[in-house]
Amino acid sequence: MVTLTLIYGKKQLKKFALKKGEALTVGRKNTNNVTIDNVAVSGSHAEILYLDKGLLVTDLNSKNGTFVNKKKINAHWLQNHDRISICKHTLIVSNLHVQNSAHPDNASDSTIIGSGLYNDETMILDTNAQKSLVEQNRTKTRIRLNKKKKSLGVLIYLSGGKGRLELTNRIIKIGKSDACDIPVKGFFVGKTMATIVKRPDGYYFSYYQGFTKPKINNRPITGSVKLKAHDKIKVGPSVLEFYFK
Amino acid sequence: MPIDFEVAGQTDIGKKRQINQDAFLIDEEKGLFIVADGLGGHRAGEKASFLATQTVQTFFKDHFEENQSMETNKIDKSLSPTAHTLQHSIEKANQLVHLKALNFSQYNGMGTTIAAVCLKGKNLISANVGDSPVFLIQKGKVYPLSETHTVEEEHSIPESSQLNTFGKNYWKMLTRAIGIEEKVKPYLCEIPVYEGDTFVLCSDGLSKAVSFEEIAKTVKRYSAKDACSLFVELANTRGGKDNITVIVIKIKKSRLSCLKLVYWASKMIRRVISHK
Repeated sequence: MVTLTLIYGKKQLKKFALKKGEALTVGRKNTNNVTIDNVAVSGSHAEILYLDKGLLVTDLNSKNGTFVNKKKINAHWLQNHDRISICKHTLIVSNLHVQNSAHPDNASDSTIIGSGLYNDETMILDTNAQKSLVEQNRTKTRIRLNKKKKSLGVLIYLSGGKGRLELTNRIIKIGKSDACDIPVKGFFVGKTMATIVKRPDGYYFSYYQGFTKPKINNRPITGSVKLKAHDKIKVGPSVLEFYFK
Repeated sequence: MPIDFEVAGQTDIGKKRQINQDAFLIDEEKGLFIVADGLGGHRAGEKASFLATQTVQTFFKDHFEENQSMETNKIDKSLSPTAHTLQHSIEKANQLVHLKALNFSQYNGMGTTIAAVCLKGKNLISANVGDSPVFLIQKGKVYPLSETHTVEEEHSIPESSQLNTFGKNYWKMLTRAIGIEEKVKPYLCEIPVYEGDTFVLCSDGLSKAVSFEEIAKTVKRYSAKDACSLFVELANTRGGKDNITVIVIKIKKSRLSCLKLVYWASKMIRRVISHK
């Protein structure tokens, strides 16, 4: 268990204990594990990750930078007694080489030493809370993979054409080329203007080429967008509506 | 215009296993990237994964230029010829591994999962069999490009069902793998590629140990090589129960365009004005 001590000037504010495999974020926003309420600190300023190999601190593109032993760093492997400076605050690394097995009950050590300038609420770091957060993330992964929509997507012409098209193919091409499933006319329309791809988690509409950009719900598309039911797709003069069968 | 990309791969035995049964392959010239995870519960998993990756590469190389249709059971006519080549390569690998497993007693019952990705022109084709995932990271979000062929993902049996008596291990079992049956149907997905996209192929040793957010964060912050070693380190720190293999492909952004220059110039001017 590694301990990080937060210091302001000469005043010791708080101690944070970090378990292997866990991350500690530092920043101004109160979503961080270590919240420093100072305008010079970026919203998400730095992250400290405890791995087998050691302790890795990464600067998250902060405005005023993160310093280790007065040197500016982007990513840095920490040593014991290193001083991480974030504006006027300092985090000191200790117990880096102490193994968990020697002191199994170290978790209770992370008590408040001096609450001083800061509100307790913004500086909570409970290893249990963090653990449950990690668990939450894991379940999230599983839920997202489970939420597969197996229902078939259908496109129906609202204007500029007639009929409907069931999206049974893996790729639906839209453009002026003959090979396209949905033909679109126009000088600036690309040969393949856009594609609709069936991915494991749904249908994605992607802009492909050409000067004229397709629009979904009146917003021009230049990348990939996941299609939702009743999205209105405007390609050239035609308007199509997407829904699930 | 060919896509400019940065790629790195790494494999690690983990902390609990005696042998690394994963294999990976990076062929930058043809834009082919493969991760294979040999089945641990069976014999010679490491042979199966190695054989599968090599076969896919050889077959893919030989038929890369041939754009005529092949006598495969085409999944979909709308897919590009390259996608069919990749599908055919995986089917060939399956045949070969299956034959070898049948004919040599020391290889009996060997099998492997596979996740393959191919970059061609403006498109990326992803193909997979088993539970080795392919992820697309776009604008900080992770999207799966592969299907997970496990009992848990493919069958939604109500909780009260009898099947629950088999226990949790049953749910994690694969429904498809390379080399087990005579024929296999890979899942295929073809998508257009944009600048700044990142693709991650990995074995389940990694995907079970890290969350989507951690994947997105890591590939955003580090170069492909650093991200790979950090992923391995992270999985090992959390127990390293399985072999860990990962390939990270980062599509590079093109050089400064006019618009970007104007944007930066205006930002600089604004900064100078605010200082005064």
